[in-house]
Amino acid sequence: MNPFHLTGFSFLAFYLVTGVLITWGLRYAIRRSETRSPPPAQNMTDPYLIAHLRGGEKEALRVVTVALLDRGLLVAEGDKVRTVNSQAVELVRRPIEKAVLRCFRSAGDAIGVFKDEATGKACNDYAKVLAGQGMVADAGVYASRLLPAMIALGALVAIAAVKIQIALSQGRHNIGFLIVLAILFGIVTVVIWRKRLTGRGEAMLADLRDLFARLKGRARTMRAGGQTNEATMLAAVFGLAALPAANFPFLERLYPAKSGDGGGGCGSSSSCSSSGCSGGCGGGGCGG
Amino acid sequence: MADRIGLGWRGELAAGIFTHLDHIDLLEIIADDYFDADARALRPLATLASQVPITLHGVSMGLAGSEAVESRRMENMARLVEVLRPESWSEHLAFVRAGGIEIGHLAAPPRTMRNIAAAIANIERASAIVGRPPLLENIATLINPPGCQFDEATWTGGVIEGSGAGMLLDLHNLYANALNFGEAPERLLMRFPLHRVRAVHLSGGHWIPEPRGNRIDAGETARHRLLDDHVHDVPADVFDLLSLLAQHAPQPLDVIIERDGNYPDFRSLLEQLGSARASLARGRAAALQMKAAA
Repeated sequence: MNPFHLTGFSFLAFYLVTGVLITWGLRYAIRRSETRSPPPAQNMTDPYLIAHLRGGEKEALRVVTVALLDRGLLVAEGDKVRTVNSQAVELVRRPIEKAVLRCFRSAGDAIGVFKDEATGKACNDYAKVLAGQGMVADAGVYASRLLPAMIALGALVAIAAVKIQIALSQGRHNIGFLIVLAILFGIVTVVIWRKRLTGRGEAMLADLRDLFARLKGRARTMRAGGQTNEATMLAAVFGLAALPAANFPFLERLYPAKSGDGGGGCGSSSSCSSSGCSGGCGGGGCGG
Repeated sequence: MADRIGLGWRGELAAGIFTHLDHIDLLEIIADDYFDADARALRPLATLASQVPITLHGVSMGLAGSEAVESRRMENMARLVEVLRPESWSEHLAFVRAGGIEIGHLAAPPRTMRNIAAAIANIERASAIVGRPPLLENIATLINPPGCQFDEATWTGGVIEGSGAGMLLDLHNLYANALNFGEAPERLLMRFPLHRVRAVHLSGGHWIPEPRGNRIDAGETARHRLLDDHVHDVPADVFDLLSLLAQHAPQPLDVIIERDGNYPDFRSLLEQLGSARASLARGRAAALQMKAAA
């Protein structure tokens, strides 16, 4: 049976199923090609690297901030954060921690760190590591995904175009839903092509979630200041939401649900005093 | 190759382990937890193995039983070894089933000639199916099995030498058995086949009262028994045994600290890893001094 002879809802159902199959096939093909080589040798021992893998630069900076608050090197005063004293920077070893502590030498909003040049540079180093290990997409990955994505998009557009042509030639103009569906599948295709994590990155993240599942199971028993590295690792692997709000009360104040991404403009009082808005990854992200 | 110090992998310790891999040379994974796992469920372990060398440890094969162990139990281990490529695999010298009944416990078998032969046959089959021989671990026991022809060290030596396998020497099991049966732990240690030891387990335990009415045999003076429970810190005496072992076993040793519950702050485990490293170093230094003096 020629599917182009179907009309109305019958063809829409056919197109829906075909579109789902094509986009699922595209995702499967990309994921398969990106996990074909052996797993990366990168040691995933740095919680900020894991946080960057999971959610990009801003997520890494959130986890750093919470880890430093938990260790008492940052203090939360209302909805502001500041470094506890000038010696704090000397007590940490990772560049991203030093950058965040320097950023909060004067009290500011927690999200101000997203716009700081030095923290952006520190995040860039993580982004490069992840891209180098094939866990986060870079220009090369996007280029390699382009051909299968174009084939999928071409097939979706071609099927819709042929049907629209047939419909119009037969004097039927009920093509609106088909156009909407074609656009939706086109968006899905672009989303798959633009996916930040590669198949290998997704697999690594899923594996880490599995390995840390028991830690998540006892998250409720974690207390701020008590088990820093466990809380930091938990936040790195599962996100800040995994930390019990009752035991980490500053989370709600510092990261209220609606201001999470910190996209404020220049001159905002939330930015860190050291750098302003000129650099960093705040707008477009360092993750590639 | 140098001595290595590691921990038993437990999900509860994941955060501490991942952030302190610079202090941990290898991890031991309980194989039985993954016998039913499909390829997808094994992938996290493969990821773990990409971070740090791993070994597999079985707890339910029952190699020291007098009955032949079913091939499927060995095939489970073989599959895991093939997927995860551990550096070694190990099992207990225990019997865990008889007459089709699983006792759910690592029990000491009667130490007889017949049992040694049966254990060797099981170990040889396991080696053939898995593709490499296991390291065989001595177990803790609160009773001396009836009908024994040999003591523990002689029987263990018979199985180890007869099978050609290496030994995983659990020093807390040895320590507990020595104290519970009235022998000096150092003397008992020296009677084991130390030249075959490739790996070591360290753990802790606690004293339990002996049930009333128990008969006290000759040489059994204890009214309390030391139970190996893996939920307490490694005692200092066991670290001393590790030093003594390192002094008399020149080959590289993989030392694993086992902790199965009542998890302490990870710093405490790091301190115990440090103590193990220091004990090994002390033993190695003493061996060098002995060699120089000779």
